[in-house]
Parts: sequence; structure tokens; C-alpha cells
Amino acid sequence: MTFTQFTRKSSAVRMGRAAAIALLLGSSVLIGMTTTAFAQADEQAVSGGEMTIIAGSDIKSWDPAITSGTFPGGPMDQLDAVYGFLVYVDLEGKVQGGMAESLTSDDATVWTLKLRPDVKFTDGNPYDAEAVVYNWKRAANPDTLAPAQPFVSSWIDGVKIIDPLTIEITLPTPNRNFGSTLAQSSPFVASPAALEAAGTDKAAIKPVGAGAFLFESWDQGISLSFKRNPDYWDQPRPYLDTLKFAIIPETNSRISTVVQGGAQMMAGYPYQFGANAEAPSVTTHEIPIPGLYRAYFNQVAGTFTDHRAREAFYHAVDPARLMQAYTQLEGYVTPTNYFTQASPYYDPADVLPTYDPAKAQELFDALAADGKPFKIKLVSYSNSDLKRLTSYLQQVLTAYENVEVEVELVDQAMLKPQCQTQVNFDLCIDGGVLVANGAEPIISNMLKTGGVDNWGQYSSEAMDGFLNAANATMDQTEVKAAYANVQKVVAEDLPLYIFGSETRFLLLRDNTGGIVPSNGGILQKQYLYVCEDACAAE
Amino acid sequence: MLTNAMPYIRAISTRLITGILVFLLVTFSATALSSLAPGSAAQLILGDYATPEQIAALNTQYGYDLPVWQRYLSWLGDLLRGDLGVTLFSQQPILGVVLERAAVTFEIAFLAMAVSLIGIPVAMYTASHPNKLTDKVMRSISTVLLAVPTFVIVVLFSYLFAMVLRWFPATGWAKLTENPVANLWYVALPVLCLSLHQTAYLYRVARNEFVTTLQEDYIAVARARGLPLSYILFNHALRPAMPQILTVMGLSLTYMLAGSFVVESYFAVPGIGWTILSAVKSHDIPLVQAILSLTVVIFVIVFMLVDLGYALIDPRVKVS
Repeated sequence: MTFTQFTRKSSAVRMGRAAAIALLLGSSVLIGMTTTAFAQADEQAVSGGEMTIIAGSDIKSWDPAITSGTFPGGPMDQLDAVYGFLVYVDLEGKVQGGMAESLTSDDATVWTLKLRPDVKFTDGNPYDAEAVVYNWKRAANPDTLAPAQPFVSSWIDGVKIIDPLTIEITLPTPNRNFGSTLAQSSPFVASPAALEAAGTDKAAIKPVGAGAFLFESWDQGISLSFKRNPDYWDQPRPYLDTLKFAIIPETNSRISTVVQGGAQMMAGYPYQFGANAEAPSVTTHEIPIPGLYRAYFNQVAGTFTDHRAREAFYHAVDPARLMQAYTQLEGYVTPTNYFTQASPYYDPADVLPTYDPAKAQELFDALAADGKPFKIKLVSYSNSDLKRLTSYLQQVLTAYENVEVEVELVDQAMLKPQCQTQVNFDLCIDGGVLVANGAEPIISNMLKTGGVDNWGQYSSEAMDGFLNAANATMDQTEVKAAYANVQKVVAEDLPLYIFGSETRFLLLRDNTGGIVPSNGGILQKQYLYVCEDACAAE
Repeated sequence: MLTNAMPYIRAISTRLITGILVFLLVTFSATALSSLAPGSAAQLILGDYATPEQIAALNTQYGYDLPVWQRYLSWLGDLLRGDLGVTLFSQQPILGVVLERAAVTFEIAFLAMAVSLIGIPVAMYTASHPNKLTDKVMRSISTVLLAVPTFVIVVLFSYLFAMVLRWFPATGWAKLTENPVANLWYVALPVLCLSLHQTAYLYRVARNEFVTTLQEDYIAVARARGLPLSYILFNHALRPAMPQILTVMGLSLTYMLAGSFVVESYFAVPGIGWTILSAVKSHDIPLVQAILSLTVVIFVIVFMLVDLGYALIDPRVKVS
């Protein structure tokens, strides 16, 4: 089911959920752990058994600070099995305690992290305040190369250990989203002894955590295997005796493996599953967090530094047709701005430029007349979906006069270095959607000056100010007003090319139980179990 | 006795020397080409947020910043000491990884080769009944199979046998030593996909050879003497056709090792084809070089055996 179809069928439900999220976000930052919240997930829990989850790519190291994307099937899945999330955001947008008991604040400036008593790493060392702060300091150190380094280093000086189970964090400025940003950017804590032993060699880091599973084996590029942690703090969880990840890069192979029962689940999109979602003993499970399909304009060099070029691009391409080329499905309704209709922050007042070929040609001609011809290098990575998308863009754009488009498809692993590090592109298209349950941290990562996902290096004082304002206030009306301003700036500046929105789905065997998505959709492994008969909830 | 064996010893020595030169050339090229590939192992190890200075520092630590010849000599020295190092990310001993995964690929390749041998008796039969219905049908089928690339067969068979009929698993592997029955179940589809093309190829070559041989005068004499057709085929026609068939079989084996890249990737079979693909992507150069080394050794041995096989089958061929 595409997001569009979902919107048609149950927009009322979605809006109700959105309103609930808004209320939760606005009403309080008092955040606590309620294990009973997941009682439903445990209703039919069966202890024992083995589960294989398919991942599209392998991890590069066990470094707990190297985190990227809390979506299911990503590298953080494997790290989560060993380390567990310190705190995480549930589907209602609430920050829940994971390895920690709670993360609370009354004023969004001073936060208190309470740890659970008697939790130990699997090497016997205590999972205490010292260990957590050690990991944070390590993440704040630029030499660790943690993606969350800018975030953690901004508050690390305000960290104070009150007692072995209590840490107080005083932020330099109020941030009501501190908990959710921590949950999604720097959630893993490894045994300091294991990290010390490895020194600066990331490959030498042994996976020693206190999470639901113990590392058993890693066959590079093939599979990873974990066994149940008998000393996990939340007994009788985890339910599974063995958890495996099979690395299968080819999408069709992943799908056929689940359909045939060779693995329990994979993450993807309905357009990829097709009729296989209807296969016997197979079902799908929506992770109801919409994310954006987006491309990055290079804002510091080349054609797109001229606002007219960005506007011309929006006018030149019909996003609905582009999504059709990408997914081979019809009926997509494209977002009109950063926040979609499903978001509590959606504001119809400011919209992105719409498809208007005549206007596009006018702008292309004007650029050419000014000696700035529309000549772009479009960079993406090589998979069948993105090849279709980039070919479509190239064909559509080159049909206009005064336009030249060069397409460069790189290996998936090289996209970030080329686009994010080297900024060697005019338009860079990443695959999949970026999701976060709530606006942060994704919106700041993408739109704020220096944001880790701001590949085009867009920088606007106004945007930074509105994003800061949205974070600083506890008043939901003010938050909404700040995000309305953000959308205004997005519509004016065109920092990104936004062309679609979609939710991720799981394709899974119908005897899979305990599906508890968190953060950007990543599953809480301790809840997973395998039933004897069908038990997966739609 | 020794005099008779001398040509063979000389031939083996010559081919081994040539093989060593090929080995050095291929492995050196792999080292040189790794420098041209975009990105670096250091970039992948350190992640997306590494600065150029940090990447350079790690490259120095791993020796990736040394000149190609220096890196190559260092690797060659390690190879001679039997130390192939460890995989870049999981830190597994490379020798163990390569041997374990090569065993998977060899099993598939040899089974596929065995299956493709079906083409020989079929070729014998159709060659002895030229232009009959069976011959025409088999020629048509083989033409179609030769025209369809392996990657298309892989997709079609996966859909048919794994998704629709569910006879065989879509992906995965079970070790022969641990569970032979499960191993056969997992190996079936990869072997079938890999062998189809080669069966058709072997059939075409063998049929042509048999047709030519069956037109020889001595075959006509044998027929005139009233010898049974099966006797003529196996005792008079098979041996003259064997050198050409042997050549094709040698080439087939190398084709199957190369074809394992496609088959293993699609069926997620942990062989050297899939391993080298992922190793290239992740810049695990020591692993790439180890697999290439093994592949070169195998190719040299296969071609040497084929050459020697000629001489054993056909005394007219001199070993030199």
C-alpha cells in the first residue's frame, strides 16, 4: 500500500494519530519507561526458536558511535542486537527507556537519565553512569568520527554524574527534542573496557554490550549470528534463542527468500513487494512513519547556486510521473512542502513550485542568456529503481532547450563520500526515504547549517533561527508557528528537491510476533518471537 | 619408462612456469587496479565523517599509500610466508574464508559440469540420427539455451522453482559436511542455472564432432560389418571426438567459475563469486587478491590437465 493509498483510505485515522502525536510532543517532556506499553506485543509471546532477518548490507565495525539511520534493515539493526537502545522513540512519538530506565526533564534544559540497577555488560563490567559518559565523551571526540559528534559535543560539558545510576545533562539551550535526538543519533553504549582494548582501531572493537543478544559469529558479507543474552535485564525477554541477519543485497532475492520461508522478514516498500505480499503465509506490516524522497541541490557551487535553476528544476519535472518512473506504480500524491498532510505541522500556506514546463523553459532560457546555462551533474547510486529515476530525469530535462544533464551512478557505499564529504555533484539523489518519528532530528540534520544530512550545504540564518525556535519552546502553538516559518523558507529557498513521501513496510512470515518499531522504524529485538501458527498483526 | 615420462614432465614444467608468470601478472594487476577504484578501504572503515587527513593516516597505517610495487612485494612476501592476513571488517583469517567459500563454488561448478555431461550422450544419439525430429528439436532447444544469458535463466528459474513451485530454496546454503541432504536441496537451483548454458554448448560441439566422425570411412566399414550402432559410437566415434569435447569441458569449467558471480549473488550462495564481488565493493583488497590467486591457480591447472589430456587420448598429439 503506498502512502497515497493510505491517505485516501484512512486519512481520518492518520490525522487523529497525528493530532495525538502533537499533543504528546507538546504536553510534556516528562518521559518515562512503561514496559506495559508493549503488553500487546507480548500477548502470544513464545520463548525459544530462531529468527533470520534480511539486511541489505553488512556492517563495517562494532563501533557503537558509528550510527546512521534508525530504519529497519540498516546497519544499526545489528548493533542494536548487541548494545540495545539507551532510550528510543515509540510510534506515538514518546521517548521510552530502553537500556536506561528513563530520560526526563521539566524545562527542556536540564535532563536526568536514570539507569537500571544491576545491569552489566557481558564482560561483567557494570552498565553504569561512568560507562554511559565514557561512550558519550568518545562520541564527542572528533577522532571517533561519530556522525553525532556535533550533537554530543554541544552538551558534553554539561554532563554530571550524580550517582552510579543517575546522570544530569544541562544543555546550553533548551531542547525539547533532546531525548529523541539522543535516541536516534547516539543511542548505543558499549563496554568501556572493550573500547579501550581496541584503541583507535575500529576493526578491533569487540561487540561487548548489555543488549538482548550476545554476538556469536560474523561471516563478512554473508551473515551475522547472535544468541540470547541470558542476563538481559528485561526477563523473560528476549524470546528468541537465536537471531540471525542474512546479508542479501539483491532486492528480488530478499523478497523470494521471505516468500519461501528462508528468512522471517525484510524491510522495503510495497512497490518492491508487488504480488509477493499476497503469497501464502506471508504478510506485510506498515511502519507508520512517513519519510521523504528527496534530492540535494548543491548550494555552494555550480548551477543550483542560482535560485532560478532550482525553481526551473521544480517546474520542469512532474513529481507524480517521476515517482511513477521510480516505483512503477501510479497514483502518488507528492508533498507540497517538507511536512506532509500526515504531519501535525503541515501548513498548506506555503507550497513548493509546481510542474510548469513553460515556466521551466523560460527560466532555462534566462539562465542561458545570463551565461549560466543549466548544465548539471546528477549523482546517485546504482540500483534498478534509481537507474529508472535518473534516466527519467535525464530524458525529461534534456527535452528542454539549453539544458545538459550528465548522470553519474556510483556504488552505494560511495554515494555519501561523493555527495556529503566531497560535495561533488549538482543534484544528488539518495535512495529510500529518511524517517524519524517526529520532526527531529531529521529536519535539523537536513536543513540546518552544518546538519549531518545537509549534503547540499544549504545555509540560512532564517532557517537556523526557526529550527532553533521550534526546539526551544515547550508551547505547541509556538512550535507549530516555527515550523510554519520553516516551510515558508523551504518554499522560498528550495534547499532540497522533495518529490515523494512513503512509509516503510516489512514483508514478513505470518508467524512473526512482537513487532515493536521504534525511532525510524527499527524493531526492538527483545520483543520478537516466532509463533507456531499465524500471529503477525497487519 | 622415464624416457616416456620426460615429455610430460617438460610440458608440466613449461606450463607451471607460464602459470607462475600469469599468476604474478594477474595479482599485480589487481594491486594496481585497486588504486584506481573510487574511494578507499580507509574511507569505508572510518565512515562517512572521516576527514581527508584521517583517511590518509589510516591509509598509511595499512600501507595503502605505498607505491604499487611496494604493496605488491609486501603482499607477495606475506603470501610466501602463508600469511594472507584477515578480512578488513570482520577480522576473519583470509585463508580460512577463501578455502571455505571456494569449496562452495567448486561444488557448484563440478556438479554443474557433471550435469552438463548429459549433453554428450544426447549428442551421440542425435548425431547418429541426423535431421530426424529428435535432432531438430534438440538443436532448437540448444540454440534457445545458448541465446539466453545466465542472469535471465537465474531470474526465471528462481521465480518458477522457488516462488511458484517452491521445490527449492530461493537463497541460502547448507554445508555438505554438516547436512548433505540440505546441501543438495540448496545446491540444486544454482547448479541447474549454471549448467543449462554449458549443457547446450557441450551438446552443440559434441554433436558436430560426432557427425563429422560418423562420416569417416572407418565408421562406414564398421557399419558394413554389421556392428551395432551403440558399439560403433562408444568404441569408434567417441575417442576421436574427445579432444574437442575436452577443450570445451576445460573452458566450461572456467566459464562456470566465472558464472558463479551471477548465480551466487542471486541465490545468496557464500562462494568465491559472491565474496569477491562484495570484497571489491568494500575495498577488501587482501581478500580480492587471495581469491584471484586461487582462481589463477585453478585456471592454470585446468588448462594444463586439458593439454595433457589431449596427449593421453590422442597419441598423434605431441606433448611439448
